[in-house]
Amino acid sequence: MNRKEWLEVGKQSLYFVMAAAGMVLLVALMNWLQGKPLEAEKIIIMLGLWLLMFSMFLGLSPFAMDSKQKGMEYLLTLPYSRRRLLFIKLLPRLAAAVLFYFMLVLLYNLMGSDAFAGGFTAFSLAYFALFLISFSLSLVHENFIVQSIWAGVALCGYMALCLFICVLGFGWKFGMPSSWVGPRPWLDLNYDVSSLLTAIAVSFLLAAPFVISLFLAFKKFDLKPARAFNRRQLLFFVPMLLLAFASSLGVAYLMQKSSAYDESFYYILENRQLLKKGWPGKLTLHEENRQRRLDTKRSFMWDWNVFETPGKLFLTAYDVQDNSTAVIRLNLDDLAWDTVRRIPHNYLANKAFSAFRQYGQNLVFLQRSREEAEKAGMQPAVPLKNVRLELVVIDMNSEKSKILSYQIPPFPIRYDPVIFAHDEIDGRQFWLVGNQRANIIRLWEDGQAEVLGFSHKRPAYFGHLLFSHSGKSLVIHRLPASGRETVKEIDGEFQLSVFFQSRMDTGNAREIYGKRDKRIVRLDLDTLTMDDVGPERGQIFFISPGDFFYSEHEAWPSAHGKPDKWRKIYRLQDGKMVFLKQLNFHGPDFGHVWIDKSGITLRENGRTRLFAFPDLRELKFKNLN
Amino acid sequence: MNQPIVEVRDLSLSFSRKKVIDGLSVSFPKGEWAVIAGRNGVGKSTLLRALSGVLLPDAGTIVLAEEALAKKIGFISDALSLFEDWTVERAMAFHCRVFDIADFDDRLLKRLGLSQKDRIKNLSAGERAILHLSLVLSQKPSLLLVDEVMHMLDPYIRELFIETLIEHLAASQATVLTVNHTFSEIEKIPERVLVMDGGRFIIDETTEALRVKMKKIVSRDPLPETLPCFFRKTDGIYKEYYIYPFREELLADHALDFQDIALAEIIKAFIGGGYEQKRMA
Repeated sequence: MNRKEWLEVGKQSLYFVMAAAGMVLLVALMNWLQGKPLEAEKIIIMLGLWLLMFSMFLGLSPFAMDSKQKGMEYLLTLPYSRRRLLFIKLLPRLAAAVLFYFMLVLLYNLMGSDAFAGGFTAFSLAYFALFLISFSLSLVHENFIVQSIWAGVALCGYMALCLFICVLGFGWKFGMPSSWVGPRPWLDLNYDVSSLLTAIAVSFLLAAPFVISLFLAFKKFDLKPARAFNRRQLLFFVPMLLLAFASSLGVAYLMQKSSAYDESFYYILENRQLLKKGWPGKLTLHEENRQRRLDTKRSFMWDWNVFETPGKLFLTAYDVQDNSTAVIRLNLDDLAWDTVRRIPHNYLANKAFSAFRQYGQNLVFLQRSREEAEKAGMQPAVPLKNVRLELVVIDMNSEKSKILSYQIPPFPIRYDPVIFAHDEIDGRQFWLVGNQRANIIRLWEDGQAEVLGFSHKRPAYFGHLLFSHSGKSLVIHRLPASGRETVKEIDGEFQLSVFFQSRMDTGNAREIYGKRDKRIVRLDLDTLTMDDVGPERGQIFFISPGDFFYSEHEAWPSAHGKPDKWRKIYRLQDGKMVFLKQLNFHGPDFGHVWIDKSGITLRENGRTRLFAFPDLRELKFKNLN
Repeated sequence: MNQPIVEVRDLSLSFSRKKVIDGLSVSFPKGEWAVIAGRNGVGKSTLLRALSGVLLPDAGTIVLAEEALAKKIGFISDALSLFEDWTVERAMAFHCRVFDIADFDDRLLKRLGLSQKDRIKNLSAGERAILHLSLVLSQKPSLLLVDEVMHMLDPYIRELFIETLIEHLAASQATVLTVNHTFSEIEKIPERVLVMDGGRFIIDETTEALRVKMKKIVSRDPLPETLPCFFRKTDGIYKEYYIYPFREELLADHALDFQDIALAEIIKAFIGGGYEQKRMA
C-alpha cells in the first residue's frame, strides 16, 4: 500500500516537474524572442505560484485516484486501520510537498533576491497551510473540481483569520491601531523574530483544526455519501477552530507583547553624542551622563537617514498616519522639532533610505511629477513609467526648498533612480542619477537633463570621475561640460559598495576601494592604477568625503544560521588595511555592525555598544542599555 | 453448535435519514454456508459491507472471532471494486503484498485464459468476478462474504465460481455468507437461509427446516382464513398459495394438496410476500 502511494505521488510529481520545466522554457523562449534577459525573480515567483497549485493538488489527491479507478471499496477492505490508511496517504504527499519546498528554497538561495525574503516567508506559510487544508478537505466531495473550490474557499477564510490575528499582533507589538499596520511588518518578517514566530504559530494553530478534524472523523470513514462524513468532520472542526482562534489570539498577544519593538536606529553625532531613534516617533539624545528625550507624538517610523548641520539635524521618517515621508528638522540645543517638508508616499521616486542625499548644506531627493504620482496604486518601489522627474533641493540652513523639473529621455530597461553624486563645472551645479542596468542621467541645475550612457552595475562618482560598468569592465569617465570622455577601462568585475550612503561628498577622495574578482582592490584616482589589497572576506564601508573602512567577517560569505564570533575592523588607506579593532560577539543572536561618519555601532543580544573614530574608543552612555 | 465466527448485536446503519439496517442481531458459526435473501434495497449488501468493514455501523457491534481478523475476511462486492487502471498482474502482486500471501493460486485465471497483462477495466464482469474470487481465496479467508455477483456470470463461469467456493469450503471450514437472488445452481448447498426485510431478518432457518415449513397449495378456490398464507400468486384461473409456517396438524384439518417446493421458489415467495406486505402497508 505504501509503495502504491509513493509511486502515485512520484508520478504526479514527475508531471509537475515536467510542466514547471516546460513553463520556464516557454518564458525563456519568449524573453529570448523579445531580446530580454531571463529574470531569476520572475522565474522563482512563477515556480512559487505553480508550487502553490501543486500543493493544493497534492493535498486534495489522496482519494481522488482511488475514487476515479472505482477502488474505494477495495481500499477499505484492506487490512489497515482507518488511521493507518490516512497516514499512508499523508506521508508521501507531505514528503513531496517538503521536498519541492526545499528545492524552491535552494533555487531561491541561488537565484533569488533578499528583497523578497519577507514575501518568501509568507509564501512558505501559505504553501504548507494550503497543503494541510487541501488534505483535510480531500473527502469533502467526490468531484475534484468541487473539492478544489472548497479548498480555495477554506484557504481564503483561513488566510483572512491568520491575517486578522497577525495584524492585531503587529498592532500590539508596535503599539498602534491595527488599521495603521502597513505592508512593512510582512516584508520584514524574516528579520523580526517574534513576528515571524507569531505568524508561524498562528498559521499552524489555525491549520490544526482542519487536519485534526479529518483524522478524528476519518476513524469512522466509510462508503456512505460524503455529506455524512462532512457533517461528522464539521462537528469536530467548529469547536476546534474556535479553540484555535482563541489560542492564536493568546499566543499572538503573549509573543508580540513580550518582545517590545526595538528597531531603534543609533547614530553617533560629530560631537560624540548619540541619537537613538525609536518607535513611534521617539528620539533620545544621549550624552555621557544624561539623556534627553523627545516624543513627537506622531507615528513616525524613522528611516536610517541622519543629516547633520551645525546645531541641527535633519531626519526622515515614514508617517504611518498619513502615509507620507516627512523631513524633520531637530534643534540639538532644545530638541525643538518641525516638519520641513512632507512628501506623500506616492510622490517619492525611490525608497526613503536611498532617496535622500546630503551634499554640503543641501538635502536633495527625487520625486515624481504630479501626473504620475496621482495614478492609483503608485508606491515608491514602483519603477517610473513617465519620464518627468522633479529634483527637490532643501537648503538646510534656511530650510527653504526649490523644485527643479526635468524631462528625462526614455530608458532602455528600467528606471529606479537614485542620486549618487553632485558636482559643478564652471559654476554650474549638476546631480548624477542612475542605478544598476539603467542610464546615467546628469541633471543640471538649469533644468537640462543629459544622458551619460548605460551602466550594468551601480555607477559611482569620486574625485570628479564617473565610474560605470560595461558588463565586462569598469569604465572611468571624465565629465566635461557636455557628454563624457572615457579615460580608462579596466577589465573584470568591480563593485563599489557606496551606493546607499546618504552623505556623498566625494570631491576630496584621492583613492577608492572596491571588490574585484573576490579581492579587495584600491584604485588610485591620480594614476588610475589598480592595486591588490587582500582577499575579500567582508564588507567595505565608505564614509564621506573620502574614508574607507573594511569589516572582516569570521565567515565569508556568511554561514547561514551560524553567527560569527568576531569582526575585525580595518581602515583602508594608501593601499593597506590598517587594523583598528576586533569586535567580539557572544551569541546566540547575529551581531550587527554598522560604520557611519562618526563611529561604529555594534548591536548584539539587544545590547548596543558604540566606538568613536578616530581611535575607536568605546563611548559609554548612561542608561543606554 | 460451533463457536460463532462473527456475531452481530443490535446493528443499525443508515444512509442519510433512511435506516437500512435496524437493530439487527445474528451470529454465524464457523464452517457454515448461509444465504441471505430479500427484496432489493432491504440491506443485504449493506450488511455484507458492514461485516467486511467497508461500512461502519451507526450503532451496535460486530464481534469477529480471532481467526477472522481483517486479513482473513474475503469480500466480493457486487461492485467488483478494484483499481481499474491496474493490470491483473499488478493487482495480484499488490493483494499478495498487502495480505501477506506467499502462494497465489492463479489456476482459475488460467482456466479462463486471462492474461496477467490485461487491464482490469478491460475485463468482462465474469472475468472480474473470477479475478476477485482468486484474490480473496488466496487470503485463505475464514469468513468469505460474497455479494450478488452470480447473476452477472455466464453459465460456465457461474459453475466454475460455485465449484471453487464449494472446494474452498470443504478444504478450509470457512464460513461463507452469500447474497443471492438466483438459487437454481446452489439449491443444495446452503445450510441456512436468512431473509431480510425492513432492516432485519424475518426468516432465519436451516434449509431443511425451511423446506419443511413452507408448502404450496394450487387451487381455484379461496383458502380458508385459518391457513397461514404468506403469499398468493394468480396463474390463470388457478391461484398459488404459499403456506408458512406449515404444521403437520394442517394436513388433518384441511383436505388440500400441500406441495413441497424448491428453495428458489421458497425464497421467491418470501420476497413476493415482502412486496405484498409493503404494498398493503
